[in-house]
Amino acid sequence: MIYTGIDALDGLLEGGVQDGSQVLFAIEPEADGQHFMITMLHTAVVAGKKTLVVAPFTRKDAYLVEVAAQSRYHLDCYKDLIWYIDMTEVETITESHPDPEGRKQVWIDRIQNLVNQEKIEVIFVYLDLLSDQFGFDGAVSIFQTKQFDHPVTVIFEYFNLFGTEMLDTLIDETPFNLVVTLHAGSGIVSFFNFFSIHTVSWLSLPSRSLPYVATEGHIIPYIPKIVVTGPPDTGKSTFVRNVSEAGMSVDRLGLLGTPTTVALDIGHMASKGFDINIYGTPGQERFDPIIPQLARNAMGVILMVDVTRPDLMPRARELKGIVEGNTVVPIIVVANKADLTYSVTEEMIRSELQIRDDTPVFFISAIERKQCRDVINSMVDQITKFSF
Amino acid sequence: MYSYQFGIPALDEQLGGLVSGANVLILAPPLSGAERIAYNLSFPAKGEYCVLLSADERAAEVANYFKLNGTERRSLAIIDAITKSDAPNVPDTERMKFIASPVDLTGISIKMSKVFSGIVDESLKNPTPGVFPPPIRFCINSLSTFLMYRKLEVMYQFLHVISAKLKKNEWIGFYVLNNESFDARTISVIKQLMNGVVEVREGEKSFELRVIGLGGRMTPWLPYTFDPNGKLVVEG
Ligand SMILES: Nc1nc2c(ncn2[C@@H]2O[C@H](COP(=O)(O)OP(=O)(O)O)[C@@H](O)[C@H]2O)c(=O)[nH]1
Repeated sequence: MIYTGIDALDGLLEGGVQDGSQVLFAIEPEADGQHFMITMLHTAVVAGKKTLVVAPFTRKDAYLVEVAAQSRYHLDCYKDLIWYIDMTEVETITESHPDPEGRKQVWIDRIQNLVNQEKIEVIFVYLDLLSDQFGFDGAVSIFQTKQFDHPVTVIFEYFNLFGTEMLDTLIDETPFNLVVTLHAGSGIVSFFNFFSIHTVSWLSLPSRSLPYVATEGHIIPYIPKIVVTGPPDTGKSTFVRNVSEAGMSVDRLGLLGTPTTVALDIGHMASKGFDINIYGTPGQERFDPIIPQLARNAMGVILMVDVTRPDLMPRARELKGIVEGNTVVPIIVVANKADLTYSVTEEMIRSELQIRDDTPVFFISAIERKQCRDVINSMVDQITKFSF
Repeated sequence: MYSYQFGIPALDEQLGGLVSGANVLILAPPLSGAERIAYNLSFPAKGEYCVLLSADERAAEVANYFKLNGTERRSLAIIDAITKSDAPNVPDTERMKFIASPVDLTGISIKMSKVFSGIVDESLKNPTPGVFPPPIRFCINSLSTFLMYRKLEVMYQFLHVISAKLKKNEWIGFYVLNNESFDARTISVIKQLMNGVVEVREGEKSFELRVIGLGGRMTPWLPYTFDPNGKLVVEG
């Protein structure tokens, strides 16, 4: 098993990448996506794997400096574990073999000999120049795993200038065990990048775009907004406070420009490798007009009801409608204050709130931190893994 | 819509400036000073910025040339694809980014994007709001060099992505191409992405240029020279 080194991604892949797999990171223009492969390279050498880096765009020393500057990883500490084929060698091969077919065979022999002799376990390939020279499929075929006398995992990085349809065609012709695409947000200032698992051969996962930020060279997957809504006094503030990590602040943000200033609870936490912001919306009817704006771009909705107040179910259903608008987002229903005596059942809640059969309903007490966190963990699964 | 000036009186008089979103090819023979023409057209006017992708001349030299001609430091950003190949330790700064080689379009794309968003961010924080998004002159010196490293189809697509971005933000682009090193097909493929061409030829006394296709007009051949600081002087 080889880990990507990005917890959220390893989690989605149920561990990491099987030995002997072929993996493609397809970077779209402007996406800050090179850290994916670099993180994986670093993770592999830290685990003691013998690796080969094929980087035709750079000289080895410049590569090491760039990785250290961008990602803070000092690969020169792993001299004994990393072999390089860099620009210098690529240029030599290109110059001495002007005919592309002959040159391709030189590449195949070079890779096969090096990998078999040195017992290299993972190869990291920057496809750029090789795909110019041999075509995408030709370049990938140089690293075909069946030519090696032991299992070798090959990780490719490809700068995809040609759009997603073209990528689909390339992948149809040249299958990979895992394809992760990286794309940039569409604004002028794109704060978030997105990764999505385009294909994975050993699991069934929906292809979903998940935001991340690359800070100091580290990939931090992000769920920028989960909204907690429900009638007043159901326990939303208590919930947001209790999921928030110790040391991470819970802000009460005053929202002006509304008839009365609204106090909004915002919590921060990490779950399953994602950094998460949780927003509690006010439940009073007078705030209904601003809720669609608060809920905009939410990746998940937690609808909270008070098990001791069945009379407030219609209001909860109304709020669900307002929050959802006409978008489809995963919803979890939290039936709170389950520590008190109550008579509502899950069936009653389901029918009163008119939720889908696959929407989970959790009976919890928001006073219990662990129960709150379990709800968020389940929300992350809903957002990343389930179809909705 | 923001409108850009050439900054060269003879051209502005004849053409009345440049429309935003325009891509301009500078198609010139060797030794004609094509890169200096491109730099001159890229000099940022007040409130503008220049982002320059250089595979031919080191960032330090480019910066010096701009400075001599009155460009403020904050108004110029350079993505340099040559210095790093023999000075691997050269560090990136906010306005100067270094790429291992012209092959590395992935790295160029990311660093360009950071430079652009840095400029946009800064203009958002500017206490005296100007035009938004801030006007940017983008320049590649030279396509000739990139085409020696990467396939035409790849460069075409790369430029296509860039020009979509320029258009969306009402920025303009200048691209230098040596007209003697490439076949007619290469030149015509690259021209497909352009709204206008500055053509350069060797005239009787000096080199001459003319502008074609911007605003639907064509200037006559105009002789040009450079002053001691390298400022472009066009007769006419
Ligand atoms: N017994 C019990 N009380 C709770 C629970 N969660 C919240 N409360 C109480 O319910 C009241 C309303 O909670 P609050 O979080 O302010 O509700 P909000 O208006 O929805 O934000 C407070 O007095 C809480 O202490 C719970 O799980 N069990």
